[in-house]
Amino acid sequence: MIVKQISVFLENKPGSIEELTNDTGKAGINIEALTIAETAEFGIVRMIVDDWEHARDALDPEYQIRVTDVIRVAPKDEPGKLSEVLRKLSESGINVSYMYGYAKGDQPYLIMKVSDPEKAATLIAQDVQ
Amino acid sequence: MIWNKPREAMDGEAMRNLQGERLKKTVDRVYHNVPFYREKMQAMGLEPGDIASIDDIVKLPFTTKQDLRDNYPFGLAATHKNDFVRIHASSGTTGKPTAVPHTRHDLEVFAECVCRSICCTGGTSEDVVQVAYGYGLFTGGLGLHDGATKLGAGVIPISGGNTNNQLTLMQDFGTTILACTPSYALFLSEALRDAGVDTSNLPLRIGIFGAEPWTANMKKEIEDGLNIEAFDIYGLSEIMGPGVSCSCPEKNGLHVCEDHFYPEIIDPDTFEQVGDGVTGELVFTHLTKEAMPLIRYRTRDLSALYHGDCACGRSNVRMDRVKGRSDDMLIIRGVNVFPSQVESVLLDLPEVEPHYMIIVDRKGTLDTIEVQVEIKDAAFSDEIGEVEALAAKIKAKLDSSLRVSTKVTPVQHKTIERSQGKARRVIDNRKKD
Repeated sequence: MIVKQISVFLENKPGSIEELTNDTGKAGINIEALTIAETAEFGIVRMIVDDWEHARDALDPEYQIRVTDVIRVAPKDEPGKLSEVLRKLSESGINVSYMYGYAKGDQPYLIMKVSDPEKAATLIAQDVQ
Repeated sequence: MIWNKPREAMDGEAMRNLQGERLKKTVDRVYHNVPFYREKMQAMGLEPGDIASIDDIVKLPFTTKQDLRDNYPFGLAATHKNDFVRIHASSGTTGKPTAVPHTRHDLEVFAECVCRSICCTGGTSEDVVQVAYGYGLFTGGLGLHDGATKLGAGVIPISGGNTNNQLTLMQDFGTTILACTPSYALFLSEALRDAGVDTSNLPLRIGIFGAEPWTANMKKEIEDGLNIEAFDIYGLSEIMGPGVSCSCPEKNGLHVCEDHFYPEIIDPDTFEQVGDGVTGELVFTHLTKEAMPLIRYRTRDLSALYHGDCACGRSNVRMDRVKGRSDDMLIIRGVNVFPSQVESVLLDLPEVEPHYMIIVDRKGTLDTIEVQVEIKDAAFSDEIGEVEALAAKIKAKLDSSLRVSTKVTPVQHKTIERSQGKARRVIDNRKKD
């Protein structure tokens, strides 16, 4: 399914992630997944949260943020399942910009930024939760 | 209409001859009447006879604001005090004020130059000029007043402030030209909107704005809000007041009344003259001033000059609208860099906020300049590559404008101090040698 990802611009310096998580905590935002893409000077924190609209409104005044459509896939926790999902996308010419995984209980999830989220979601509907 | 075509459209060579003649007379007068200049010239081994043409101006000493303060009030006067008919003064925000006396002839030149300026914007004797500059020691109000009167326009001497009255008289008297500071014009435009006045129904057509710096965005906002064409008028009280130069409908610079004020652009570091189109510090020499002629007065304003005929019919040299103050200049690897250049690049980029911080440092023997910018939400991306590409684009624009290699660092939202009048825009970490 398509989910909303909140991306936040942070400077690459001590305390900036702590400050962000302190702000999300105070705003009552629960982070389901988090990953950081970084350079020497700055980082982009990408998060999946429980209520993206609330997170957007709470963080927007203080941070540069961006809401992006990404797809969430819940493949079976078995060898080869991820490659099956990715093959469907590549056969349809859909590009994956980045992906990251997390788990809830025994269920693994993958978040993918793809070139065409709607088409991707349809293609892999049975693998998607 | 060109008010004084013989002067304003004068052939370049004839103008230089006229300037040379006038400079010789001025130097002769200050040498014999102003001890300050006589002593300076003698110390340099100069005599009035050494000045044969306008090109010899480079031999002459500079005059600074501090010289005016040191000789306050009339130490630099070249005439007897009895010949003064008006004395303007600037408030002394950093100590002593400065006084600027005028003879009757000086005021006639003042009115002539402002009259030329109003005509330069398209004004005629049929216009109604609302002078909303302050009247008083400040030269704006009386300057525009006398110039518009000389032109034969109808003058509303309302001075600054009292916004309700400004709006009422503007409508009742049919103001066609508004003369004031750009910030007050913006304020009046908003007041008109709030009052529900449709400016397209007003006869107002021209704005003559000056006395403070303003951005291109602000100009557009004023033009749209008041439904007028806005022009720059430039001046400074030490030289005269508004009317030293003014923009024309060609919008390619401000025509300087160069038969009265000789402009030069110098490198503020080496004091050498620079060529056309090169930005540096604007310097003026009085050519006709009687009461207190100044030689090579350093304005600290940054501009550039452009010689050649203008499509408006004038040939008087044009100057850029003032870009900033030379006091702000940084020297990075031998290149002069002004914070205002950084600002104008960023203003043209819709992806970033207009706030910035410049950090200058020295790594070994190499000067470095870092520009911190805030990316706007709309331009921010969840992909590193796009943010880096934006930073690279900003760097490319800055590098080509500044002619030095910069480092562009995107920083977090609101980490850069917001301007409250004078914000600190530069941190120079280099050790002073």
